[in-house]
Amino acid sequence: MSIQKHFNTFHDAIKLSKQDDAYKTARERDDSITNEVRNAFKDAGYPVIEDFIQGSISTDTAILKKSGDFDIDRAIVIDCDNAPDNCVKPKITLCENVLEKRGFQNAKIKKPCVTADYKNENLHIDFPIYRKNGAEYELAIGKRNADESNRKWEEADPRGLKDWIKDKSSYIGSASDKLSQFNRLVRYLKRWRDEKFSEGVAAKIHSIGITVMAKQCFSPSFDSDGKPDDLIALKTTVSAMLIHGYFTAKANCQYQVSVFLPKKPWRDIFDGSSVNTGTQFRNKLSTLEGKLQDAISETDEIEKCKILREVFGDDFPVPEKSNNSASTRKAIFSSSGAVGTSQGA
Amino acid sequence: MNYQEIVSHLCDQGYLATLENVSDLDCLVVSHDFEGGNLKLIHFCVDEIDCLPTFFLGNFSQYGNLAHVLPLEKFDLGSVCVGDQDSVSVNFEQPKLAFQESLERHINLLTKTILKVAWNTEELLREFYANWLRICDDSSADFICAASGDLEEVQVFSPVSGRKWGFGSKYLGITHCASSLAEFSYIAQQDKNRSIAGEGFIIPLNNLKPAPTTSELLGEWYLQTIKNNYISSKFEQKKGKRFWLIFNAQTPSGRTWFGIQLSIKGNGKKSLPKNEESLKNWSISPIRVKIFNKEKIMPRSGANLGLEGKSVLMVGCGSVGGEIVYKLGAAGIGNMVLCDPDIYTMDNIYRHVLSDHFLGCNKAIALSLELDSKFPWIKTQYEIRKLLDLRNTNHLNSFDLIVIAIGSPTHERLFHDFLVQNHIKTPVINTWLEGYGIGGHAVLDLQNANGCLRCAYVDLQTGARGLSSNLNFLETDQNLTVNHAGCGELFLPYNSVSAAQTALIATNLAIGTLLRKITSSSKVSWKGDCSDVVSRGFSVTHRYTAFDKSLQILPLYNEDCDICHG
Repeated sequence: MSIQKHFNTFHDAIKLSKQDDAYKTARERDDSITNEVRNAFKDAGYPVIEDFIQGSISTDTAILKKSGDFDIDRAIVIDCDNAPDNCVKPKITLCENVLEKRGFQNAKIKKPCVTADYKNENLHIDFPIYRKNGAEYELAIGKRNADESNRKWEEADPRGLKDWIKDKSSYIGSASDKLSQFNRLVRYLKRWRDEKFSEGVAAKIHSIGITVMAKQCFSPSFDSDGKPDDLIALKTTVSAMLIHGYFTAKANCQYQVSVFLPKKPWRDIFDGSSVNTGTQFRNKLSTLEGKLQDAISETDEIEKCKILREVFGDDFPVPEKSNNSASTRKAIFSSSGAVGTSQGA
Repeated sequence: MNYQEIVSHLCDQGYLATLENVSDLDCLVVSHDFEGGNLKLIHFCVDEIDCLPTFFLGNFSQYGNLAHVLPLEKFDLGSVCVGDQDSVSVNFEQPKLAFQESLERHINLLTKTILKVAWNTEELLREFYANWLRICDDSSADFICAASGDLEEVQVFSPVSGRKWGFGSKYLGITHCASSLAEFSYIAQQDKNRSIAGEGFIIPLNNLKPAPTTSELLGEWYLQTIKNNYISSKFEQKKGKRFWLIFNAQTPSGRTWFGIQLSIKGNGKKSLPKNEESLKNWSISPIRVKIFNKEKIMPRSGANLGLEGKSVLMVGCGSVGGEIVYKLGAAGIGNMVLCDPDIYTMDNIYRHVLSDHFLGCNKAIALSLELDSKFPWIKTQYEIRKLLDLRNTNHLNSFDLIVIAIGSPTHERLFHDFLVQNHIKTPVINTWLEGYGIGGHAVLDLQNANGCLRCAYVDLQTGARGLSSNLNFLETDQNLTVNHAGCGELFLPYNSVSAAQTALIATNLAIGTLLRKITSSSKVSWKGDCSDVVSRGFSVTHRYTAFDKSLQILPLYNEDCDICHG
């Protein structure tokens, strides 16, 4: 069996999409709360003009966390003309009039968003609040009691960032397949992070940071027939991430990591990140590169998988015995009902 | 043309070359001594070299009959053939070198023919047919002969009156044993309005003399030939006003057929002349004979006799299928069953091989008729049925090969399921093209070999059974069809070149399979230009961008195919 099939199995095990059954409850909770937010904001005089999912679910790069927790990033947008000058005010409305009334004990107003946890359902929801002026978005920045100097409507481009991550215009030939390979690579890297870093450090290796790095360094790999080779693609992409300039060398073989958002507000995603985080990130990424190369060089299927399990954890399959050409395969049927083809005669 | 320079160069090379005037024509004359005498080579001056410069052999009559040298009427010159002029690329920018090269070739050939008598005789026999044609009257009709070559009588039919081309414009000779053969029925089917012109004899020659160099020498050649070969007394005693004698003889270049026609001068009937005296009562003329049998015609015209016994089921007689059956017929396939339920319409005219007089006819029937009239030894049948209607084990196992050109991935996969489930042994080729000239594909599925049709349908991203072929150059789910008149009138734009290209790769696979030159399941693609696709905003696959193996036969097997691992 090809190593790609094992990657496919691994990917099936870790991927999370909005349509997954595992996500169903989270989706229902999200829909329910969003409706209440709409009502509360309408009553408050700044009706919601749009809402959308942002974050990894919207870019098809979400993974199932090993803890089983689900994250939802639900953007709430109000019209600029109706938005109060005090950007914290809608956050308080959301917190007090919606979340606390629903019994959330731990609803918090954080600097970029309002957060709440469904503890019994392992669900964590973030509500970033934007005001919209024409096509421009501004994010409400500030904690509950922030004074005027510590709160502001800050320029942001959540939809532009999403579009940038999902952009496939630079991929020539089977562009959708290449974007899918990119999405898989981001998921592999996230699972690698969750496996290889302590919980505290992993939380500081932001998913959006990994995603931006991978996007900028992505190198698709397909054989001449069009069959993907995720192992090669990941190795090539990781190698590029290491030399792209994200890591600045400091004294004593330490590193500072810095990755800038490709859209407004163009800020450093790792702003305030410690040298320890940067050093661990860089060194473990380098180790990953070496392990991937080992896997590429390994000719035995089982040994190859063992190396990759070491990197990605137990969700990466290791077959009991090598699948040779004579072994029986179970049919996997297409998930499409029908596709239009270019075939004629 | 600077002949002074050429003469100077030839002299520098040791030739005795001069410019002279022969019969009021400027000539370059070269005199060359060799161990057997002296050659006088004459080149008539030209303004431009467009072929290897020609030299005539002077004093031709003194040499007798030389191979590759023919007399130039009215002059005592011989025209020398030093090779295939068309295939020689001449240095017209350095004429002196071209003359030197030509001169060397002439001298080498002539000295060899003069000095090596046995070789000369063998060469004269090798080129017997070409020399025979030179003495034939260009305006007379050819003689088509359907015969085995044994000594026997032949009935001769006249050309159809007023016919200028085709079989009808030629004499036709049929022997008794050939009258039931396919070639005769084929020819007879072409022209039914012939009258009997007379009779003749097929005469195999064991002792062949070189062809006469002029028609005046034909009588002498005839008398020597009948003297030195066996002719049945039954034929010798036969009396008539006109006889066709159709000879055949083994030469170094194979069995050669040629003939003469004898017509009596005046009235009455006489038996075949056997001496100079009796020959005076007859007019004698050479005739061109074209033997019409499959052993001669098929290999000579590009077909393979090894395919004559093969039987092919062709499913789909559209523009690709039509091209394929023509090419399979041309390859020499002996038996074909053509299947298609569709009617030939005006929408098909420019990309289909059929002519417009078949409009409204079922495509399988029309192609069957076309093939029967085009290829003399083919046997075709037709079935007005769809691919899925052909799911019959015994029927499918009766063929040497099944070729499917219907462009319907759903039906093709369903049919493949039937083949697998019922262990059909017959090899199957599926072929299709893609729109806008982007390319075409052919897949050979050899049973009991690694690789099957479904290998070409494995979804390369997931390893699942795909719905669209992974060979395709255009991405799925694009609105590729054009709609001019609503539902039922959708069509995929492509032209006859795409159809022909696709048919070529499929036919090559088919022939290779039938001749057992291809013994593993294979795939072939041809990649076309993508400018039309790009200009319409359609997307190509990664395979298209990476593909650099057009026309190459590649392994079909895909390691993720569950059917190959079932």
